[in-house]
Amino acid sequence: MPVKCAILGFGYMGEIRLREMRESELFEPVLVCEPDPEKRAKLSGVEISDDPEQIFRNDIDAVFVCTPNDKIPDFTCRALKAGKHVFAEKPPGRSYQDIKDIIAVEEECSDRKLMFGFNHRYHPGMQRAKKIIDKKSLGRVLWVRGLYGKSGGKNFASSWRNKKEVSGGGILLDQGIHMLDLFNFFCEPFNEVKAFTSDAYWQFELEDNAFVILKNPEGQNAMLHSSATFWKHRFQIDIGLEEGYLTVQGFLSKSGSYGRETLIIGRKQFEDETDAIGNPSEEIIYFDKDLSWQIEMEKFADCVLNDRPVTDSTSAHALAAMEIVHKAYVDSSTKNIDSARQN
Amino acid sequence: MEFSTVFLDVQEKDVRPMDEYNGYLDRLKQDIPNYYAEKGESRMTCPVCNASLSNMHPPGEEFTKNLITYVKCGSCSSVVAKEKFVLSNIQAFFTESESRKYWMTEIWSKTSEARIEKIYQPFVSWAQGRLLDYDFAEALSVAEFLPNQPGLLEGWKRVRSKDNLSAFASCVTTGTNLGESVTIHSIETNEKVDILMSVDGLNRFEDPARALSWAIEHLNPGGLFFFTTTLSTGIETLELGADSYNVLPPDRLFLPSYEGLQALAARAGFEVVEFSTPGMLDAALLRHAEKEGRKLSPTIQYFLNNRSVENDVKEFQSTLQKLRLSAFGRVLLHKKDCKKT
Ligand SMILES: [Zn+2]
Repeated sequence: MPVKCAILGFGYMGEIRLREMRESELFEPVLVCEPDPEKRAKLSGVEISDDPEQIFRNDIDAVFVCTPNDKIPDFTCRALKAGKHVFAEKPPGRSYQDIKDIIAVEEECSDRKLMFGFNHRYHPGMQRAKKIIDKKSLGRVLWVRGLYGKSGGKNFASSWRNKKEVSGGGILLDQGIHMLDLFNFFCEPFNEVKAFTSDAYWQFELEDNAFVILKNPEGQNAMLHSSATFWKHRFQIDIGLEEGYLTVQGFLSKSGSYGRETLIIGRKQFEDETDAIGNPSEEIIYFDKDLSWQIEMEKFADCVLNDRPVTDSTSAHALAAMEIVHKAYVDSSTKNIDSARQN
Repeated sequence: MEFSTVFLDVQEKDVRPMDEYNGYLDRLKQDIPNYYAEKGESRMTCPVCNASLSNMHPPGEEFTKNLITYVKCGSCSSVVAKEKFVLSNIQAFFTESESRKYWMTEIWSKTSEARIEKIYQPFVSWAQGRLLDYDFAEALSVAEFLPNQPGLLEGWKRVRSKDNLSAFASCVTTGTNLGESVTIHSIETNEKVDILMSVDGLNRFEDPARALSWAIEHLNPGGLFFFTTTLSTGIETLELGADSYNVLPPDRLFLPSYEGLQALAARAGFEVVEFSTPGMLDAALLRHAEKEGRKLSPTIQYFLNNRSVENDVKEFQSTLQKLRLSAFGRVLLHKKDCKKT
């Protein structure tokens, strides 16, 4: 029996979720709720409504919350309370408090499954890197560094993502959070956070660039540059290990604009210290199939259908990523105040 | 379908020391009339893609080397021996001919160290890396077509150890010296294994479709076939045609094209997981050919003469790998798990 689903919000993510449901035998899309008539007009073959309250109907097992950030916590909590399993997109709300509130409700509704859409974990480059790390064939992870950014664009200024009351944060919360989730995926959780942010170009009163430096109790360090002013779409994560390094560069996406997804595997090469080779030969793997949406949704379906606990992209993972974002905003705002005072 | 690029410090002398190699070619001239003179019927269809061979590429193109005539398939661009040979004769060539004895005593003995370090060990670590994606039980059973062993189908050996791939790896990388924990025996007719491996063995078969169906029959559901092969669509083979160093009869009775081999694998029931061309020697072989006065296209000739600094040559070879245009292919095939589908 497939999971009978409602999709709340038929924007970029809602479309992807519906497409994946239609490809899978594990889901039956029953209903899509979307307030925008233009977006509703694109839909067929499924019940369509402009009333979000329809998602609480009895014939719905699970709700995919694909709304802007400000609506995610409320609908997630109410759906859980109404007995629905919930798959919510990232970020899990606008603030650290939002995800804590969600978790409080989740604890009351322990028979329901809650998962978040941190799909980057399931990209082929990340999956392969994770297996290499877990197998310890290159030793322990020492550090991680991520670059993730985009170019903005013609409609960037009018997007809800850049309205603070809707999104709650800028590029760090919108896109950088995926990279922070990957840091937590590859390393032990990070607790110390330093950050600088700026909105020097777009001036939305939301950061268009964030530089975040992290440390965890194991002594692993991480660094993120999240940007809406790269002027090209760019994704890169470098992982330094005791015996070599891994780089995932490029990212399979609908538009292909982040470039071909590759995993570079480099092995440290030196026999003795005077003979260090600074440019070891690398193996580069080129991927061509993004199964990330399918994998994460199948995981969700498996938890729902077989009553298994959610272990991937859990609320705890969402909380950990949001905690870093929160600390980064706090740290960078302190510095902004300090420098303003000095001026 | 994925592919990889890998940079290894392989040089021509590592696999083909010139004096010994020429000695091998001389002996082949003696042996081939004895083992490959008896011919079966002419091929009507391409053994790789099944298209009619009357459709040659370009029409009528064929060449003879070491008394063996090759044609290039007009549909898939594979280069294949035009006539069939007697299987028992092919097996006899690999088991008892002077050429192969010479190969083992002179070439293998002089190149085994480099081959192990630069070909077999990277092959095994590639396989080990790829295994991370599959859930096999701890005890794997593995069979290999030992590249330095005689024989064809009989050359497929099964390794039984407290079986894991590392134990197997040590047996691949040490050639014939098998560790005590590993027993090895010829694979039996109905025996199935999880993993098959072949380094440069496939091209010896005159019927690649038969080789692949044999492979799929001997794999458990979900099993993997790791192999290397010389390709007709590498730049060295495309440029040099009959003069290609990679067209080496009778060691290679067919050279599949990149596209043809994918179609062939699919026909046999395999899923192609990876198909890379991580070759390192195309540029070096083209340079070698130029020095020997062999004919090259003006573009390649210009490149070799005017972009000869090390970084340019490296970039060229790297581009060949990225575009799957090296003559050395590395393939991972997956026998779909019946339970899952
Ligand atoms: Zn053909």
